[in-house]
Amino acid sequence: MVNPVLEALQLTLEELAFYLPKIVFSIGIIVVYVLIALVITKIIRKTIKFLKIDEIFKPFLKETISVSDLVVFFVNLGLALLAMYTLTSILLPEHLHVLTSIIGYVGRIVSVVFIIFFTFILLNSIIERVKMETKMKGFMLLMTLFITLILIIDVTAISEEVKASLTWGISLGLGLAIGVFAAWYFFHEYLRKTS
Amino acid sequence: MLFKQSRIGSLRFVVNKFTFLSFSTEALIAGFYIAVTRSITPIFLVANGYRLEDILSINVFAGLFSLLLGLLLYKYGSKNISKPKLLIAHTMERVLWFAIPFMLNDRLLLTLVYGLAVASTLPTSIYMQTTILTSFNGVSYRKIVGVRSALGALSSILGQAFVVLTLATGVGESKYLNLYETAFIIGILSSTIVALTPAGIFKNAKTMVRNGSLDAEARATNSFILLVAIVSSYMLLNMAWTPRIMYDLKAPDYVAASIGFAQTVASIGSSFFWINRNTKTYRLALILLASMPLMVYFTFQPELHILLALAYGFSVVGVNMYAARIYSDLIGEIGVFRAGTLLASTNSLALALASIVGYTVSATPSVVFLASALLGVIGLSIALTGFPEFAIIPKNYVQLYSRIMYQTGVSSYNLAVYAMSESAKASLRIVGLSLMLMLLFIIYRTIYYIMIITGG
Repeated sequence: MVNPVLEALQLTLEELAFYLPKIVFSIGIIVVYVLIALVITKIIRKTIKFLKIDEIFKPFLKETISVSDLVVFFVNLGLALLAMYTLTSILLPEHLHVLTSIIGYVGRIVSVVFIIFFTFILLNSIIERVKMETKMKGFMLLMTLFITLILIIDVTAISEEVKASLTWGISLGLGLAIGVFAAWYFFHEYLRKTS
Repeated sequence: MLFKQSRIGSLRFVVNKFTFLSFSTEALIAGFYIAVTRSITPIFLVANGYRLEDILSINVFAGLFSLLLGLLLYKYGSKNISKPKLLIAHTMERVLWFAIPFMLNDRLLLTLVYGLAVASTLPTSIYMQTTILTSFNGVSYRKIVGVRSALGALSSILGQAFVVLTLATGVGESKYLNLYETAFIIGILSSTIVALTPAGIFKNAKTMVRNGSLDAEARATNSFILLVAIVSSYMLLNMAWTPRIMYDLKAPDYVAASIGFAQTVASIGSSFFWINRNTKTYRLALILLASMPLMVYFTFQPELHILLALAYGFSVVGVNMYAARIYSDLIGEIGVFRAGTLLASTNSLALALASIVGYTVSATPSVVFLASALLGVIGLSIALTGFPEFAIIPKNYVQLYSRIMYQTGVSSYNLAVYAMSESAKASLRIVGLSLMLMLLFIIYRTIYYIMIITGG
């Protein structure tokens, strides 16, 4: 009778022997991608520095974002995605569509986070520039929260029916709230007089 | 001690004599090569299907390229002129001119090599002028310039005769090749003369770049503008002269052919006439040269044009000698290298200017005439108002006009350089940015296609 531990070990080693060339090949690919990324980053940074490209965008962006950092970030992100696809196509070619779905899903989450940030920054700058009443500020914040809530619901894993009814309900509530607020905003003095 | 000093003196005298002889011989031999290559190339280009506009546009490119080269050499080039440097520029120029017939199959390459060949004359000219300016001074400088232009004119007559004979007797493409081969061999011979010139005469011109007083700067700049106007007027007139007497005055072709010949013959004798003249006499050359376009246009007897050509050749040498005199006088003020560069760049700028004007109005030869006359009049007005030795107005006005002209010249130059460098920088930035965006596009478009293929 064969020792089960030895048998298990043998099976594991066989699997390792099967995967080892693929792992070594993957490491090679990662190294190649890292090298490409390093070289491209260096070239881009040198080119941007030499041609002073940042200076073109300085009047528009001030000191907030550096164009060179943005370009380098997106190039490296793109290269990382390409590396992931290359690795998956070698190691698990049958799961390529899963990776695509994951990337798509992550992309949606990132875009929602980006929109939330963007909306809050925008709202903040509007509040800073336009003198608003406290009530008005609160109302604007509420609107923003509801809109971002819809976006968050869109990326959650709940069933489509619940998603649709929740979104529909919030949208209806938003519309009604805007309507009531507008009526109050434009006619509150008249309404106060009549009462 | 006295004996030692006299030995050094006599040694310097021998070296100077030898240098004089070597530069004169170089001009004598190079004159032949220059005459053959410069006169054969336009004919060769026309024979291969180039139109006048094509040749003019190549000349514009060549002129601008030479100017850029001159500017780069002046700003960034080493001022240390050595024998190998002059020799390389000298030989390179000959090799480039010789390469022209071999580029026949590729029109673009032919244009490029022709442009480069024209541009390559500038470094040779700058190094040559600077070396001659450092080796000779005052009267001896004017003497060497006079002797060089006389010998150059003499051998260029031989060169032109050789071209005419070869073209008349030869057949097919091989006659052009024969001409280029002969010119190349003779040209290399002149480079050998440069190689044999004593290395001791090549001095470091770095210390010879100076910023002179405002008056000297104004004089150098105004002389440059004056010479450019006069030389471009001369170039334009030569473009329009032959069509004028052949088509408008219906003169026989031998009269047309004599025009160039008469100019060359006149320049041999007149070189010796102009060597030792006082400055005021050069006024005659300037007035003759500037008024020549109008005189040519209003002379309707074709035979009289030969006389005009003789006078023209005579006055061209006078103006050249005057230019040599101005710059040799200014060496102490603005430095040898600057004087040499300005003197050599005159031709490049005049070529670019004449070619641009010629290209724009080439359809109507009479307008070329008018442009030449206009440039001549501009040159003459500059001379008569901005130069004390020629001026017909009070001296204090001359100084005022001279300064105004200098300031305008300098600010126009600064504006042109600023506009050119800024637009070049902006274009480079846009190209760099486009390349980066292209890289991003390639990466993300590939990812997008992968996602579509894998069913995302």
